Amino acid sequence: MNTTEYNQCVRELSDSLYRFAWKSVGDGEMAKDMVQQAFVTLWESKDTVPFEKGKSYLFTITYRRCMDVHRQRGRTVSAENLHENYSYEQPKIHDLKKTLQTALNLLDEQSKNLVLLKDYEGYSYDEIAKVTDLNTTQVKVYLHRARKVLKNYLVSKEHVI
Amino acid sequence: MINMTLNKENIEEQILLFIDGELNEVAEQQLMTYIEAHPEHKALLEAYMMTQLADEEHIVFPDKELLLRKEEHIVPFKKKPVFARIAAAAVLALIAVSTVYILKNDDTDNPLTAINNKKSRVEKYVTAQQKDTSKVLAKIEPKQNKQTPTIQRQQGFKKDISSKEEVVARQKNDIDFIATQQQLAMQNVSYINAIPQEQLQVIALAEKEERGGLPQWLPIKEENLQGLNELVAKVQDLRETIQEKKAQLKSQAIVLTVAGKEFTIGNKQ
Repeated sequence: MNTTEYNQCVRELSDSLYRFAWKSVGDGEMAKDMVQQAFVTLWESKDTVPFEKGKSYLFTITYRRCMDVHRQRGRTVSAENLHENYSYEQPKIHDLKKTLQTALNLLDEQSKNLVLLKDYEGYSYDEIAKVTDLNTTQVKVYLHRARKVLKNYLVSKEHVI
Repeated sequence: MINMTLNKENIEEQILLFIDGELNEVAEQQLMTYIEAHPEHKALLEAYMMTQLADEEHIVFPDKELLLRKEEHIVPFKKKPVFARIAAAAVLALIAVSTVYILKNDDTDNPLTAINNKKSRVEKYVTAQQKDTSKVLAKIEPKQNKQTPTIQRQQGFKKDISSKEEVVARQKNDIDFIATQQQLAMQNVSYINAIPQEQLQVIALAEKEERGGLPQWLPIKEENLQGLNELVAKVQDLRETIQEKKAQLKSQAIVLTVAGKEFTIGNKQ
């Protein structure tokens, strides 16, 4: 891609990339750094990255960086643990959006990122598979499992809105 | 996704695919129809719809401008010094003028046009020569009648008739020469008019090939114009003499004395 196309990527993708990173790591400043680093990497390799691949390239970089952060933090909450925990966790505000965010943060990092890519970016299973280095079936299975966890959390007796 | 028969076992997966936007329109319609027919699954659909994250459009990246890079602007022509631009403009103007001149004077493209142009040139030449001849005759003939008595009166002696006749004879020779050339030119015109158009085209093409030498269609040769040139030279001499006399008259000054003061009119040498 050329400079004009790179700038177009900045204008069109930086917001969604920032949203994804922020929701994934839960830290605005860290998300900002991630987005900047992703675009620096894109700029350095813009000669080899075609414009139409810019979005998946940026999301792949950011996704990997998010996973690195989660690994460094050492907090991996399995879906099973979440399922066990949600019954006694009491959300302070009975608001669907906040409750959903709470449930989302209790998902494992990979499932959480898959939901973010699906709902925020509208990626298909195939596209998510390319970004995450998973196969399409894995994406589908992980996503359905994450949805079930979220649904169970939301409809549990304690969290019914 | 492949359309399939919905039942109690696969309805949840189909709802999840619907939530993820992975069903085609037909499959979606099938699912909605099934749920309408089996309302006990409606609650499940609504519960999964709640798991979809809402848009977060209000979250925007604040440092977008820092990421933008300076774009290369395409400059069709590099800016050059003023003199270079002036020189370029002069060259362009010269080319334009040359092109117009060449196009205006180039009659070789159409051979027929070239021949017709030659004909008109010959006719114009003949007409001009006739006018010149009549002018010369008109000037010379009255001179012979008037000059002799005037000279006799002024000089008070009988002019040598034989020398005058020589001058007149020489002038007549010149006129005869021009008349001869006119006749030749007229013959040339009639000759060209008699040639069929097809032959004219062939001749024109042949002449085009021979381009570089003197034009073949001219009725007279340059050496034959020597007598006419002498006449022109004489006229030039007369003009110069008149200019000299005029200059001498201008250079003379008149001094007037009025009330003891001198006033000079003209150039004082």
